Amino acid sequence: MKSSMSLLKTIWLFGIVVLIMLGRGLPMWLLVVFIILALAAPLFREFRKKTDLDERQLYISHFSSHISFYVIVGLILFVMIQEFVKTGVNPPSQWYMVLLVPLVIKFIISIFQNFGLRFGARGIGLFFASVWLLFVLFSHGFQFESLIGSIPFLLMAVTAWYSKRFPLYCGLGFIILTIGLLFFFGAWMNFDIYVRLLMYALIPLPLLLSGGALLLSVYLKEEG
Amino acid sequence: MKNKIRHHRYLNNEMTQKHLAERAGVTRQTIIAIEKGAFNPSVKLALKLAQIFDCKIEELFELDLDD
Repeated sequence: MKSSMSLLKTIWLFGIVVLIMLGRGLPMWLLVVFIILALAAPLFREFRKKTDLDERQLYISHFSSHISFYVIVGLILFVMIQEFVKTGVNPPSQWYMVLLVPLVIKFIISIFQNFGLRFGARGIGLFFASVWLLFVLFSHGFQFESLIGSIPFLLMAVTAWYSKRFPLYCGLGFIILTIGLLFFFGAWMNFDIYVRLLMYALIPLPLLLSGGALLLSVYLKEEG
Repeated sequence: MKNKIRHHRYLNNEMTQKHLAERAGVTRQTIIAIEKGAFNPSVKLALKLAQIFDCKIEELFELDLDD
């Protein structure tokens, strides 16, 4: 018999609340381990191959997560606006990271789900290349430096364009370009960890995922 | 989408929702939701239900005029 989702979810939420209330007395490492385990438990239950959740329970779980996602985005925006109103300066970079990284991940997943691995990788490559190309050209003007800065994104656009015909080579090209970009943007290492995470999510991550998706599409013999 | 699950349970020796849920591999709440029309099952689950009742899927489910 399939087990009830509501009871388990209630116990899980209760456990998290208790953990947060009593967690202050625990050593930090133990608290972190408990929190990771508590947050991973529902994911483990949902994504293992033989999940005990039926399709309606999965639908409810996904729908509630979807709504929660927008609530979180709304709360982050609320905090950012409050910070700005209180202090009169832009909120710290960690808030931008917390706001934008999940949105980028959502965008990438939905593109792959919508268009499949090969076309998804192509679309993501072209989208991010175009955005960054325009950003480099418009923020620094049409100078020699900005033309040099735009080279990786031009390469990214060309690779994305030809990925339909040469998925294997372009997939490898994307991955090599990702590694190259990490050296090209070595100055990122001077930024704080939050800005770095944001930048990695906006440039190398989509590229790396697109490269991986192209290689996977070749391995799975996905139709182009 | 309309369904005749209640009718087919009756025809099958008044099969309980719990028994049907066990055979279909879902929860009783899911069977209740499908019977009420509050949840549309996947094609796979609809086929499974039709198989349990030994009938065609069209005999179990039909489109509403609004659908």
